[in-house]
Amino acid sequence: MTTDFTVHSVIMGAEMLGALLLLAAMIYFAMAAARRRGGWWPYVLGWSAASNTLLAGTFIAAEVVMFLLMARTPSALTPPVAVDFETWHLLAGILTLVTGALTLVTGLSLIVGGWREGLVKRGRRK
Amino acid sequence: MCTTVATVGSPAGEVLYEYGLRLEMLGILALVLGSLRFLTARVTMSRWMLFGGMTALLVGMGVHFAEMHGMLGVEYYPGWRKDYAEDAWSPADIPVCAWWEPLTWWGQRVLRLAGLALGAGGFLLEARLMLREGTRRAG
Repeated sequence: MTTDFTVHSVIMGAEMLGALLLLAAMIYFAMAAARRRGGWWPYVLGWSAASNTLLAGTFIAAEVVMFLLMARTPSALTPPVAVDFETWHLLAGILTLVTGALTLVTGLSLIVGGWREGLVKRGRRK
Repeated sequence: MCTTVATVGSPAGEVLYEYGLRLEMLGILALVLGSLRFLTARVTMSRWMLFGGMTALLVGMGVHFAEMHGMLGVEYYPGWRKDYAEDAWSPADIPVCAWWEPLTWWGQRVLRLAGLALGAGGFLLEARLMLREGTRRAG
């Protein structure tokens, strides 16, 4: 098998960068909302997006390190540290779980923000 | 948002990864509902972008989720024919890809990329609008 992973790698890299861009835009939106709308939801949205950005950055760094190790001749997929592959896998599982939970928190705070925006529009607040 | 891990390794890690992916799907669904609530409060171009982007992301991730859970069997990937042709004894050994398989493979990735870009644009434009309105109100 001589599978060409170029297309796949390029798309995956673009997706990772796109995710970082979306998270950065979310942080900017949360900052603007905190400044202009007030309330607690922009802070929850901003902090959860910021934490998610940090985790996504960790994932990207891990992928880059893995890619560099694979590209080495001879290939050295297992990092030269005293941690086995199972531990890396468990760590990736924990990071994915935390990322998922943070995305859920971000989504729920956006629902609260939208709901409060609707109340402002109807004139129930202020 | 979409990350890959190896299919072998820690069983506990696999379970945590599964739960993480489910939570992520729920989170994206919540983002779709939140952007829909913003859109129904006031219709603007940026809110349409936000809602469209989040919906595209949800569909793209949904297909990935279905594929991972065996609900959707896609054999296609770029260069699959070349790979099979190298190992096959005869042309009859090369499997036939259904017409929807390349569409699913490319479609989910295009949707995810478009969703991420539209969503980011929507959030940025909405934030700019919010700040401009605030300045106008203050002035």
